[in-house]
Amino acid sequence: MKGHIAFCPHFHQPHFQLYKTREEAYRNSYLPWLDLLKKAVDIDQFYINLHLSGPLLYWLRDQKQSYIKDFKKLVETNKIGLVGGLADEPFVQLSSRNDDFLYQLKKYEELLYELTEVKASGWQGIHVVERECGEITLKELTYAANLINSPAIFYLDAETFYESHFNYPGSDYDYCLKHFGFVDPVAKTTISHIPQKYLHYAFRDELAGQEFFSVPVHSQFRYQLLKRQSFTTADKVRIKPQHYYFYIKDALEEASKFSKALGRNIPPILVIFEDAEKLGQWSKDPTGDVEWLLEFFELVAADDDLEFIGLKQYLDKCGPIDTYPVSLSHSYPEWENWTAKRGIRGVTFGDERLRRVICRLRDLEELQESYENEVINNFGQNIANIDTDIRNIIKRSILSSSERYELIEKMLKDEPEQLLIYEVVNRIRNLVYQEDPKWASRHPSYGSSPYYDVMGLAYLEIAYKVLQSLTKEKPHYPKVVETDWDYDGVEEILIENDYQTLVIDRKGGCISYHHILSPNLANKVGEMTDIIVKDSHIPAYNSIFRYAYPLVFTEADSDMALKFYDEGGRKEISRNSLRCHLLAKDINGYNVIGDFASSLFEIELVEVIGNRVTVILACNQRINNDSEIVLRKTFVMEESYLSCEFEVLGQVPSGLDLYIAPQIVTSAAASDEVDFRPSAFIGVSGNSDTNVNIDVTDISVINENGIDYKSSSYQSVLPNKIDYLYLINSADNSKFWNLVSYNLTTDDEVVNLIVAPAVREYYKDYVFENQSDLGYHTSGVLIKPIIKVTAGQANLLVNIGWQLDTDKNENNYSGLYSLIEK
Amino acid sequence: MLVLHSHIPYVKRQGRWPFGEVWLFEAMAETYIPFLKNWLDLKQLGYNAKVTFSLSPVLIEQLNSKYIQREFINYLKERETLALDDERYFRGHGEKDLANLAANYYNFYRDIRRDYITEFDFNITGILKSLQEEGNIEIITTAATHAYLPLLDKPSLEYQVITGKKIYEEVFATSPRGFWLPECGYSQGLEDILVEHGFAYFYVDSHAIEGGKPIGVFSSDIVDDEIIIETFASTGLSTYRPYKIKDKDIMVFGRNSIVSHQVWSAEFGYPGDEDYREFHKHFDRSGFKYWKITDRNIAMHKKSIYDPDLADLKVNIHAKHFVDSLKNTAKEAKKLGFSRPLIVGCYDTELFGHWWWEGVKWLNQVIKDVAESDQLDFVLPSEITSAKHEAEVFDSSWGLGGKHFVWENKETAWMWDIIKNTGGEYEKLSTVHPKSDIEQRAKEMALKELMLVQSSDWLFMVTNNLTKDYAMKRFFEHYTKFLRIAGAIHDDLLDEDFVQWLLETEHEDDIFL
Repeated sequence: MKGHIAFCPHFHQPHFQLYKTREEAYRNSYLPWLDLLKKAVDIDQFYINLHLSGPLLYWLRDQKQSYIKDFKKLVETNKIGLVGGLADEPFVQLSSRNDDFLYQLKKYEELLYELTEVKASGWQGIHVVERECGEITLKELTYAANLINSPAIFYLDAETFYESHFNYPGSDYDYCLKHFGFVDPVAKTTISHIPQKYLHYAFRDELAGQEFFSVPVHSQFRYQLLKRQSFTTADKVRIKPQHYYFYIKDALEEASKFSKALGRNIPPILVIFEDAEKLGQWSKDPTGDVEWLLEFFELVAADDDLEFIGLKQYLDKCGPIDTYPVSLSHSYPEWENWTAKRGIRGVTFGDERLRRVICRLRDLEELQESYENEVINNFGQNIANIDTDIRNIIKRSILSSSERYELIEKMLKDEPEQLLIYEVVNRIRNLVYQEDPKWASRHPSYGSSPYYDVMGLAYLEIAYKVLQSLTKEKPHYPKVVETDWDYDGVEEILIENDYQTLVIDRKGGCISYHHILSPNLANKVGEMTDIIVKDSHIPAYNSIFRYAYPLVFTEADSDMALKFYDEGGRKEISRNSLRCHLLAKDINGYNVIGDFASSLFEIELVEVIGNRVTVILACNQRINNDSEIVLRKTFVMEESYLSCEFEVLGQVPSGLDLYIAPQIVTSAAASDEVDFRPSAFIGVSGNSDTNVNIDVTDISVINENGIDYKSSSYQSVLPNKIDYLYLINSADNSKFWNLVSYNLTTDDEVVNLIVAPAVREYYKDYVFENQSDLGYHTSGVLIKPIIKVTAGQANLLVNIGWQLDTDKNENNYSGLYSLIEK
Repeated sequence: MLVLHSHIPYVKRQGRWPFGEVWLFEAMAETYIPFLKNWLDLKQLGYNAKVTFSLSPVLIEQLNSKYIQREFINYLKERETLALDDERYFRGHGEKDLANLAANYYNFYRDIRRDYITEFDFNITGILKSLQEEGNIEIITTAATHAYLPLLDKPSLEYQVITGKKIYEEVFATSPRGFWLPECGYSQGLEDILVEHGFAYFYVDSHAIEGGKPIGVFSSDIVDDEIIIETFASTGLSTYRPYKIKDKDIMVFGRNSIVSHQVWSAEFGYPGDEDYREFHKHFDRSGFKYWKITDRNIAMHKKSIYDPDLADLKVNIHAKHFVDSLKNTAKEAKKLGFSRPLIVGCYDTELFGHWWWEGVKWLNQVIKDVAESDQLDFVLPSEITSAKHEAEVFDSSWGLGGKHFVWENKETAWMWDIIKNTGGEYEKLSTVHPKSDIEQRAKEMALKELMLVQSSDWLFMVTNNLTKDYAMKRFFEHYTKFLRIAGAIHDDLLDEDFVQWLLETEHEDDIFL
């Protein structure tokens, strides 16, 4: 036996990663990796396959040129093979455009060649993001790989090929037993299959005639690699280098017997795939990890039966053992509760917040296609006087082509300004698909991470406006569309003007998405173009928040989740803004009456007059079987202004003491990527004669041990204006405050004012407890006045304004409530 | 003082399963390797458990055999395959808990193989040797084939002791200071041969020193009116200290009855806990044990599925209980005037892991708890250089009745006739001057067969009616081999057939080369 080991670590930091986190990973992992590789390339039998993600490479190019220089030298030793990948590490399968596959591969190739002079033809394989590999992904990647002369070799999870345990009579999947109570004697698979433990070969496969090769990744060798520490207190397992070597050799020996039994006698290959950050960054002990790996390398090098190898080298040397198709859409099968076996589409569309990112991407893609239609029309008219039908077929063919963006770019070669904008918009659109905010946000081991999407959306909204300026048929602003924007079967109202993008959801009659541009920037296409062109190298810092910010883009709130049963049947619901509860007070406190916060509202009016859009939603509910209560919300949007008036009207049943409790929410949150010391506060002002109790709950207290929470109550003059200020501290030395301002006007008695984190807990009991905790430092703020219903009616007008990079500060307020304490 | 006595009779090439080599492989996989691995891990964590290991020469020989080392790997791989098959079987039948247990077995045997290869380099005795050289443990020897010494004739006694010492010296490159009397079997005067060969100490059961009623851990299920459970005269002495045998230059350590009782007692001992794995119920397809004791008195088919987490909880509870009882024992001893009382716990090593599946974990936890205690310390016999007080020791053993009954009774009387007869025959042979290399080799083989006949194991199995057929077969085989050699030498018939047979016998019984 000559067993082959393809060691394939994957280096990755997402676009918009926090400065401090990225620098820490650089110190703890990427530099130690370089030291390790410098030593390892001196080992005779050493070879390694490295995949550095596009976002990480962009950052290294921008920030760590010396690292790239050293890395290039190491690559020149021919002991390091590079694995290609996608420029933005995106889930391209979420995109509506199949040309994104080629786009991503080409951009990656350009980048990698620029940094290492390694062409796609020299790659050892292609990294599939999270090894999430439906048929479309594999087909399109293979097609794109062929176009750039890259080998179509992918490492994929072993479970992609093989269900761990097939069905048997009497097992969980014996549906006769389940439904009728008898054992189905033929509840067995008939497919010829290879036991999982023998899947240590390269397999040929094809999709739509596109041939590709895959090599299985076995989770055992991911988990055992560098297992030097305990995961939990109960975990006593330590894997030494010689143990790891033992397991690998053992697996290869077993596999070797298998190929002999097949009559092929092909030497086996074992892929070690793992995140590179496991070295040093996870363990915080890079020295120990480096020693561990070096010892392992030496053990392999000293064994004549084993050999490190590149993926392509292996295919060239040994070839595939057979054609053996992969199954579909599997990634990380051990986390079934997380993906519910529905892959990244299940994750993304199963979560309201993540779905909104995709919806907004769809808007941009629609706009982009509209623009591309125009480009093709212009181009077609210029080059040929052909039949309209044929022209339409050509147009459709181009739009469905894997090379669509390239064709459009070629057509725009005489329009350099448009070409530049097109390229940048396409760039931004692609990067919003990056995996981390989708994958990690809903992984049980990680906390909420909307941050990356918030930045992506800030860029996307500017790009949207810039691209719109290129289209012939510019929309008349304000644009109002009644559409099922988020594909949930219920129409939303999407309103756009130069300053805002707003989505009003009839479910709960609330705002589910609200993005704003700085008034200084809106309508100034030149300046917006300059910003995105300047940042098209993918910025390292978060200063874009000076120009754009999604004010409502809230997390799912566990308080609102619909639970069907304890074991996990539930639907998570985003907090959103401007929901409103109707409350009744008794000796035990407030009780929710009806379900105004989640019921479907009817559209009473959608009206556009000049710049002013008015939308009126109403929900009529019968309470206590006799009284009818109507809650009406009137949304008014003008250029850089938004208001909502809440009105409740109806007969109050006798003996009931009713209140309304509107929820004024923003998901805008402080961000300090430099020191991790975020700041945010509420500033109030008012001159009323009335006092009110203000409860500020769950103030985030950041200390050495993490974050604690505390609450305070204050007696204050009833504020008619509440300003929320949050700090953005960016590593490019820009530090500024953003402001969201709420003016509250009511004719009725405000009995209490509650300030709370927008979302206190998300995915509670489903992610680790400390990861489920949110607060002002991550989720934004919720302001909830409790207003008494008098004589069957109550109202509240909320005027919402904002300033990005505001001049205001703590000194401007008579009443000040810190939301984050250190 | 923790003393672990390790012994497996000579089973190499003497049948594989259900009786034979599998006994050795089970002890290696379930006890020796897990215990040593745990011990080494504890050492890495800063715990230094001073343990006294007694290794029978016949075990040492087998552990060092290339044949056994190779076959042990095959055995482990067979177990791994069986465990995987069981796992698939159980999953296919919706038995998730059983499937998970099968997966645990797979991981267990795979990692034993891993450790045996990567950590021990196939060399268990080599690891022990290093540890002894580093001063972490003390290894002592015992009778060559674990013969029951009190009933042997003097020449046989000498062969057993001298060979035991010789094997020890060859393997551990030093002379043994301590001698483990097989089955704690002692008769007055036995110490003379130990003194003669330079031994400094040995162990006896508690009643041999203190008097009183013996614990009698072995053969407790035997119902026989003829057993005399003698109550030994109370001596006023105590096992809390070592003694010098009266007028002899050798120390004796007495096993502490309290600590022994808690572990060994079939009725009250920890291993009988309801949550521990049931030793006696096997899964037909593979032989793996998937059930817990549940209740010692219920039928096998009513046993519940084993829950490793529950068992782990019990391990910690029992370890704490044991260490607390050590502390209390020490406290009581101090009240009696023993300022630094010695508590000697002697156990068969194979109890931990093999017989009592959770025993290795328990021992591990006990070692940690003792190390972390400020009231208890482990001690090695070499740290006790002399005994101030003298004692005379009763004839005794740790078997039922406290004396020799388990090994000498009406069931085994005929065996002793053969043993004594064979001994006498060998004495005659020993005076013959070999005329050829073959005759010399035949004489050496005769001695080996003599010693194999003398193993206490065959007597024990016959008495207890455990694997009696196998024991008798082995006893007769070694006896007949001896007879053939003796006859051939006596009749000077060392012909080609004999030489061929001798070669085969040397191959089969290749110990003590």
